[in-house]
Amino acid sequence: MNTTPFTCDECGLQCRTHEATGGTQRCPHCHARIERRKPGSAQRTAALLIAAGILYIPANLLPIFEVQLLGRTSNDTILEGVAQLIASGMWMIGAVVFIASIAVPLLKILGIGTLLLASRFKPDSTRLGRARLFRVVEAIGPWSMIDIFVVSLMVSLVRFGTLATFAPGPGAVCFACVVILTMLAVRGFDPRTIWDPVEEKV
Amino acid sequence: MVKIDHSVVRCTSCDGWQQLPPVPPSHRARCYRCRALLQRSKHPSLDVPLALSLAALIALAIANGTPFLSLEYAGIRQSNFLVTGAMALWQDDHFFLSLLVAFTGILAPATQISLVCYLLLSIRRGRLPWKFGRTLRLVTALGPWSMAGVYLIGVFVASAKLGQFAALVEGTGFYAFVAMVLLWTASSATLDPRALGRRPELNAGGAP
Repeated sequence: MNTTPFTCDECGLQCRTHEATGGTQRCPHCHARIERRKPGSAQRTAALLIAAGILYIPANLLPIFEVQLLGRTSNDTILEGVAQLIASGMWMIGAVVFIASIAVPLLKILGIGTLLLASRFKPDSTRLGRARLFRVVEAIGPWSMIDIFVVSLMVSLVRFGTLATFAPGPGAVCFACVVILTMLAVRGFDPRTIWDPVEEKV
Repeated sequence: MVKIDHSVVRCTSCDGWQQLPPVPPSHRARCYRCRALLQRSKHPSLDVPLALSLAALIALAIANGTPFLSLEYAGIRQSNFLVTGAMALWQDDHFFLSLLVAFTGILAPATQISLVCYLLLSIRRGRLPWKFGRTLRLVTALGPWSMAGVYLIGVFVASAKLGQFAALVEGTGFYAFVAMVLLWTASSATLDPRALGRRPELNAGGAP
């Protein structure tokens, strides 16, 4: 019987799989699909990444908040929110919001883009560097959600009828989509493809 | 039955096969090639992560059941629970944002913590948990979507923004939430979910 040793990506179970049985093989322990490579990794990641890149523009240009305070209405984009925080002396909080909401999504989009392009056109470029870049992009993923949580807290806390109300703007939905799409793009990317040419040469 | 040598592992980040010596306490094993984390030293007892997870579960219950934040503006006091953030968005017809906040801020962390408590409790009693592998996979799959820590930073940013024109008062629920995030972080640091299937406690009950 022709078997190959295998470790399940999800639960770490070590087992042997039968080759050429056809159909989908599943881990006997956690029932995750056993794949040597994630199917269509590059295409799927690229599609999600392009969608995130397009939505990144309205996410930054459209207002994320619509504030009504004592009859005055003001719409704030993410960058205006950061500017207000810095202007009122809270530059630490302003820096946190800037990093989480503007720098992190951009870094994720550029990082995954670099990984995809390098795998396609320069597979020999520094592999350890790319593996590390992938881990950084993976780790920073959830932190761009801060602004969405701020919106939900403001909306629920500031409900004083005609005195003051808070509503999420169209930018908030775009921004939430950017966060989800970049996280899915990172999950879709298969870091093992970084090392593929090494195995072919040996 | 094929005998499996657990000292030979495959790095799931780069597919490199390698021999892995036993990891001494408070050390980490990294892949020789891509430096991905392969294994943390296993804590000798399950009691530490179990105690931390149970404490996190209790803190989570308190965080959900007691007032979270309240805001005073022009003599009106607006009191809030943890779920109010998602509920207010739902009432204003922002369904997508509401579900996203409810899932990542409350549902995913709560599911993760409860499932880990269940897994650890049954393994500690020498029983194979129901649908063990699938449950374990659900816990790891929820990982990136479980954003309680990020939510906490969001609370600090929101209170900084609101502090300019209203007084924000933290309730019991807020402190319980902080405790939950800290306890859950500590629990995750002492637990290697991938090593759970090889726990000696399970051998009596017939491990997979």
